[in-house]
Amino acid sequence: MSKENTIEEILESTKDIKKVDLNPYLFNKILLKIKLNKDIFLSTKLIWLSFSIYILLIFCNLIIIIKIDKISNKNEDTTSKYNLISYNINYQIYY
Amino acid sequence: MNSQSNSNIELIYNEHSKMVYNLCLGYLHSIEDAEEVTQDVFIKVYHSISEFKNKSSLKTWIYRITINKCLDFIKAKKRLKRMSDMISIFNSKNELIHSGKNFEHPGILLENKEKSILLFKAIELLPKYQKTVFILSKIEGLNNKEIAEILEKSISAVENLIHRAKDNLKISLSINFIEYQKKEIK
Repeated sequence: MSKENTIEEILESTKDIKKVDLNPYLFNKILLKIKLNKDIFLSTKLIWLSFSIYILLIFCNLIIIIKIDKISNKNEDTTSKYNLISYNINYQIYY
Repeated sequence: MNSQSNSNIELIYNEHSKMVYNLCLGYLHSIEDAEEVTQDVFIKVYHSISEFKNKSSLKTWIYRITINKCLDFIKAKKRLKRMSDMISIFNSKNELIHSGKNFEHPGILLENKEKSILLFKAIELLPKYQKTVFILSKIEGLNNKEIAEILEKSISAVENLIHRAKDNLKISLSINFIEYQKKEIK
């Protein structure tokens, strides 16, 4: 038998292939997996909820920090002005 | 899980499960892997049935999901094999992950078993699209128009892919021809 003929035969070896039957319990396995997936989906919802709450808390903290910083900056400004004025009053050189 | 969606998925499963399982078997060359991917396909169908638009038939849509799931599974398995190869450098007691080297398809006629083992080995080496087109055409028995619809390609592109797949298979089979002759003599 020539090489070409054999290769052609190999290529045609799937010609009368029969459809294979499935495991009869496969559908039950699928239903079980769908149910389990739903449970997992609920828990992922909880994870997202807790994550968003965490992000919100960080955001609130940041706002508070920025506000406190602004207030302290204002206070610093007034004290520095006061110091300058007092310096001028006390230590100004007169000619 | 409500009873309506439950009965819907049962109907779809009864109609298409054999087709899905056989396509997976043609792709993955392992009964266990084919069962696993078949389960994944129907879980995906269950969750995405609301997204299904009647642009194509349900059968075509399920074919597409199956092909994508099979390709993802092969990719994941290759990644796992690469990792196990890496580990085997450090650990000599590593077990081989890939098992289906000499795959005997349960649907093949007895007189074609030896030849089909060689063919399935050669199919594994084909590029993604050529492999898909060859399996759909020669194992699933779909015509070029149906394949073109599933892959969203033109019929001429499908014909071209089948031609190239055949050429590549001939090349790889001619390399393994000596091995086959030795077996025939035995």
